[in-house]
Amino acid sequence: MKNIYKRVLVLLFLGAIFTPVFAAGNKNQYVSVTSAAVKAKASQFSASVGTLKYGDVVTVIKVEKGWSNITSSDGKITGWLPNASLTAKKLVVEVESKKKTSANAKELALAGKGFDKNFEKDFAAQNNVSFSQVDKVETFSANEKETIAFIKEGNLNAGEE
Amino acid sequence: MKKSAKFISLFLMTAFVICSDSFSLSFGDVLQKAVQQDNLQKTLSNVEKVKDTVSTINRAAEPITPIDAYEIGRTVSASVLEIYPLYNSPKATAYLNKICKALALNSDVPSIYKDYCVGILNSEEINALSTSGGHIFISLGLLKCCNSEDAVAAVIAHELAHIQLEHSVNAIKASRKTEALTQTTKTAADLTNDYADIAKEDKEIFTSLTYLNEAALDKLLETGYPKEQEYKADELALTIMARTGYDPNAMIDMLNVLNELHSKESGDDKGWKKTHPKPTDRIKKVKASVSKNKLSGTDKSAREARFKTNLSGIVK
Repeated sequence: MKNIYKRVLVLLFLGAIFTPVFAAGNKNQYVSVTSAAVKAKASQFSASVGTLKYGDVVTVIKVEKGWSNITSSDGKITGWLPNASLTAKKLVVEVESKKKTSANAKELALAGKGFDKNFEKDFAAQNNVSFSQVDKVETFSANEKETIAFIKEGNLNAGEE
Repeated sequence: MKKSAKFISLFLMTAFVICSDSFSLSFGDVLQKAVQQDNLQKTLSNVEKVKDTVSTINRAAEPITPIDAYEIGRTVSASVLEIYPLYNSPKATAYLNKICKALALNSDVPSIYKDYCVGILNSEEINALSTSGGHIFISLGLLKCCNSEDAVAAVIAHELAHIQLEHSVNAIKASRKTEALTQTTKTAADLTNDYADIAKEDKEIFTSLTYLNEAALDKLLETGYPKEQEYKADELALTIMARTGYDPNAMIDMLNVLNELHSKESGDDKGWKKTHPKPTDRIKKVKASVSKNKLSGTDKSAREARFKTNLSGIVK
């Protein structure tokens, strides 16, 4: 009996320490952004041929200079996505979009990288922060069409070095 | 040996001990003693301790998904905005967001889970912050230090680089690993302390490892990111700027302004002074990177008028 306890304890512990997750070499990837515009060419400034959403599965045909040539799982969309918009890790799409963060106060303070002395203290003190101002900031994002006009007006580059 | 070097080497030793087979065997020995020498109640209590430790280790092993990173970013942003109100200028805000989008479109990470967004904080303090959710905050004080659109682009590109290099997500991952190490050594220390026949020195090793890991996390919290990450953010920012057509030398102009302020102000505890390397150190590295990679921008005259119009009332 004692032997069983011992084995359970040791296995529990060793299992936790030595359970690496090995990702098998898989051509399937998952879209990691809410809305990914699939491009006709490997350039952000090329025409869009369709849109995929977070968690969608794609098959990667080839990879070139930071871009992946993909086909959607239903075969309807074929084009290019930035590698940064794809992940090999399976993503679970959660219905509730406003789920609470899994990070604790200390970790959030870390994510705030010591912005201000009081900032860290406030993290610990805050139980209910308001997200209304964050929602407001998120509406500030510029759209692509306006930005391309802005780029041209300012003699900036659109994809070419 | 320098104090910091000692600290790092001891920390690495801790990690090595935790990851080595010898540690797991000696931990197994401790557990074996728990079973051999004591009653069922004590064994069960030790099982609980090990279970808690296992759950912390599992948490450290879990990936931070794009949604997690976004939600963490939202919470950090909410807390920033509780302290600093937004500066209300739709014109200036829209201008900064277009600069940000132009940079993002020319970078390797044109979008993250949600779009990048920029907010101006109504604060004279000089600081900027980005979150893993793509939120970028720039204080009015920092904006006032900019003398061109290219200098504003340098500030935004630096923050964009922190996001794209996943610095805050990595800090959380590191803290979870540290927490797992701390708890592992603490459990080991608790268990070893239970038994009289374990050598005093062995008990002391486990106890000191516990304190060491806790100290590592606290140190990280106090000083922000390692300086090396700030240099890496500068380096990536320069590449993104050049690709977009912004003059990378504008980052040097910006840092020169910060350097003047740095030498005028006393104390090291103010926002960016506490969390960033000295501007002179950054300038050296930026200059080296610009010349090594032969980075340059396009003719900036087309951007001069709109900089003054969009930021009128803020910049000179």
